[in-house]
Amino acid sequence: MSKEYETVIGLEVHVELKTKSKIFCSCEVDFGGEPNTHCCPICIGLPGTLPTLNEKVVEYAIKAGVSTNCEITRRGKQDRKNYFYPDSGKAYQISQNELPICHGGYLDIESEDGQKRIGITRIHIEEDAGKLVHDPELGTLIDYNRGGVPLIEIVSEPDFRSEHEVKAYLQKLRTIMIYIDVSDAKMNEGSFRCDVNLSIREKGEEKFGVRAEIKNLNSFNSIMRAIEYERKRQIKAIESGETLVQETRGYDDEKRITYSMREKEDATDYRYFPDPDLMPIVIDEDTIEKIIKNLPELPDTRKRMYMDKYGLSAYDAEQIVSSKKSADYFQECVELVKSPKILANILIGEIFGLSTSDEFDIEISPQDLGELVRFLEDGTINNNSAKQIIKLMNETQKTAKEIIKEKNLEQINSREILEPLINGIISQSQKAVEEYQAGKEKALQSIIGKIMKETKGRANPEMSKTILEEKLKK
Amino acid sequence: MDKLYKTIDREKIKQREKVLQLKKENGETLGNLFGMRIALEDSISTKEMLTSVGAKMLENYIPPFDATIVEKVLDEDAIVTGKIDIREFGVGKKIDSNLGRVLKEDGADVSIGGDTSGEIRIEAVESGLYGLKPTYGSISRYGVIGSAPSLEQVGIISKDVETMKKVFYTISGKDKKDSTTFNRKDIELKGIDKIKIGVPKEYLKDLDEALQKEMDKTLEEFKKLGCSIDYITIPSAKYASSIYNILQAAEFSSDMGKFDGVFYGYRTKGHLDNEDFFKQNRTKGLSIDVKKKIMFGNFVLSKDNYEDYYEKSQKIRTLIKDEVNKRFEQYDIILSPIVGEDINYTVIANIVGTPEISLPSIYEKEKFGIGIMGKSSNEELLFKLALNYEEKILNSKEEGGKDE
Ligand SMILES: [Zn+2]
Repeated sequence: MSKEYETVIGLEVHVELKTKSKIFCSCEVDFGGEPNTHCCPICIGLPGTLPTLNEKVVEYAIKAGVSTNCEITRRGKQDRKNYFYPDSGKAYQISQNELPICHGGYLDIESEDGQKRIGITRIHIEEDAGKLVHDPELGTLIDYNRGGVPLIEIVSEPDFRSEHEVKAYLQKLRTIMIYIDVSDAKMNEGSFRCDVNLSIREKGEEKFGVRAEIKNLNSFNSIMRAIEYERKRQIKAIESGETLVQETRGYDDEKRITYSMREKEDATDYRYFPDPDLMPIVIDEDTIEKIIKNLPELPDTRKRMYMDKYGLSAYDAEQIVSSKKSADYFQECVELVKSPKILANILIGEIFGLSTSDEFDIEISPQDLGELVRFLEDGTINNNSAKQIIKLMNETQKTAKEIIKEKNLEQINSREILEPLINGIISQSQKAVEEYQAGKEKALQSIIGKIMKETKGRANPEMSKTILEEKLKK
Repeated sequence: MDKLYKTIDREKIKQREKVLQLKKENGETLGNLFGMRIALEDSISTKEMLTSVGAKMLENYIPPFDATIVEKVLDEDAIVTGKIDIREFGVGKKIDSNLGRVLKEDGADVSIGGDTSGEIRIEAVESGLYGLKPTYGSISRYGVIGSAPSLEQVGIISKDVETMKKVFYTISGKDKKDSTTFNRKDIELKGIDKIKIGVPKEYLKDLDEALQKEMDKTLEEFKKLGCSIDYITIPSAKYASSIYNILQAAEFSSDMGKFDGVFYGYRTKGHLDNEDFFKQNRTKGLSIDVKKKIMFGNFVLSKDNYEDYYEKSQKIRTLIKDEVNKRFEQYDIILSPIVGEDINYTVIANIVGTPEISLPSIYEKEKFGIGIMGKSSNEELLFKLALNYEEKILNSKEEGGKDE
């Protein structure tokens, strides 16, 4: 009998902070500038230069910490992580080893695999490295614009058991970073990056297996695929009696495989020690309180409000708050309508799909959508037409009112119009009528379908059903 | 005289003198250091002037910026005469330092350089001059290519105390580019006859006859001025040079990582890959002495040794600090001999961060001297005592002839 395995996953997420200037110098943080136009002697580490900590970075890290239920340290320090690679001008990265700004937090997530609490081990601040560009003619070039851009690294506990949980966590974490306005958190631009630590163990086993750290993951899809692949690879290795080594693996998005980059990691000794050029980070109670007081509403708070105040289901509310833009959109719309539930259905069922990106990018204004929902509520249109109208609103930028008039999409609510029409359809549907009268409820649906088809979807479905039932009972 | 300098540009000096002269003729406000000739150690970054730190690795390095202290002295109308050579990155093979000699031969009025274990004070003593290692954080290190950030301060060598004081007050103060700096506040001054001097017994063991005589004489003279003298102990002082070696090497090894030939400095041709490029540049660009220090630093910072070496040294550092600060609750000055090459007497001020002035000897100029160490931020009291020493002890002796 084959054994049952469990996948154990922990995440390291790097979030680029959108402070005005870099972490240790006054260079502007700006993406996409010409190579090496946003650097200075300090961020390329010229001899004799010294770092001075940008206090905003600490503030942003605290913001991230209190939004993820972390404890905030009162006294942090910064350490040097020594290594040789040309992406750093100093041959060390200033990070935090022993005393991170935040520790001991968690996030509650909701995934296909149910509800779960994911532990957050720590959040620390550090500087980003420069970018190496490999040019076939010129060789390796360095763009230092990114060097010294502030990062927070959010390290989770190894609490994930599936890629679905990973996805739910990352989406939530990313949303929070956007809500609290510390980062653009764009995965494709590298301002939200994730390394996956994955190991396999037999179900019931307490000890962790040998883990691989997977890097180069730049979309939710590649993370999901990489986890799937890596799990299979490790199980196969275990079952064929291979010894797994602790290593860093890259992910090839085209081939959809992970590959060994280097064996590590206890072998790499970064020789951490406190950076003597920097003073300890002292955080007082007032600072933390002020940050908490000014914190915007977090997704979980909004979610609870949507459930309590508007009667939405947990699932619907979660969907809406999953992006700050969609939640803001919902909040603007909800003031204009009577039924938040109808609004939520339309938003999730019809509008989300129109977004052109991961972010909620929608052409239809909240006012226009509100109007459409009101037409639905008062019976001017039915669900069927609503779908068509939304599609047209998105394509033509016209309002619901204009489209209804133009396309004559008003719902037919008049008994006088529907009755003769239904009479005609009954006479053409003898078979279905017989079946229905023989007790087959489903047959009624096919007749209603015909009515809708005949009216180009405009017939009031409930009214049609009532009329039909009356007629067929006689 | 120019040969005492590693880099000197007479033409530039002349231009500078002209500019200053014009300023004076135009009746403009003149800076605090107007016309003062300052020689800089070659570890201090100077824009448009070679800054090699005695290293092949930086043989052609010209920084694109001035160290903060250079900006400050220039703002106050001083003349930077040139750069004085230093042993490779402050740790290489010993060379004759000219920071003192250049003053003796009147090639400059003041010398400025780094003091990590006593270099400036020892250099001053060996030239029969005054040397100051100020309170840690009182002078910006921005642009100073040092060998151990937590131990090093910029020091001043001068021919007289008044000049030293003037330069110190000009270049000290909070620099937003160096977060370890602060604006010092003078501690309340007391009369010379209220000053309590403590002399650690540990420093009085095994002194040779001449130095013993010097110590006795100095203490006698301070007593005459009204100071009280007590013998004290600082038991942990005996660990000072050992932990210095560990902490300095640790910080040095990390600071030295940047010298890889990527952005500037010595670089070889014909490497295989990144790693080989680093290896070759460092193998050929650094001397064996520097490499040994880096290796030792890497050793004490490595995972297996960190606790036993680096961390333990930090604990002992705290212990020494506590002991010294405890003594300063009772005494204003801790006095010790200063002997060239023996950092034991001087390094304690670097470890604790306290200021110390080295005074030239009464009897044997250029062989040894006396160190007076004060509480952190209490430079003012050191200046006062040093001035009294200069005027009432040293100069009166000289006037009276060297032999008693
Ligand atoms: Zn910069």
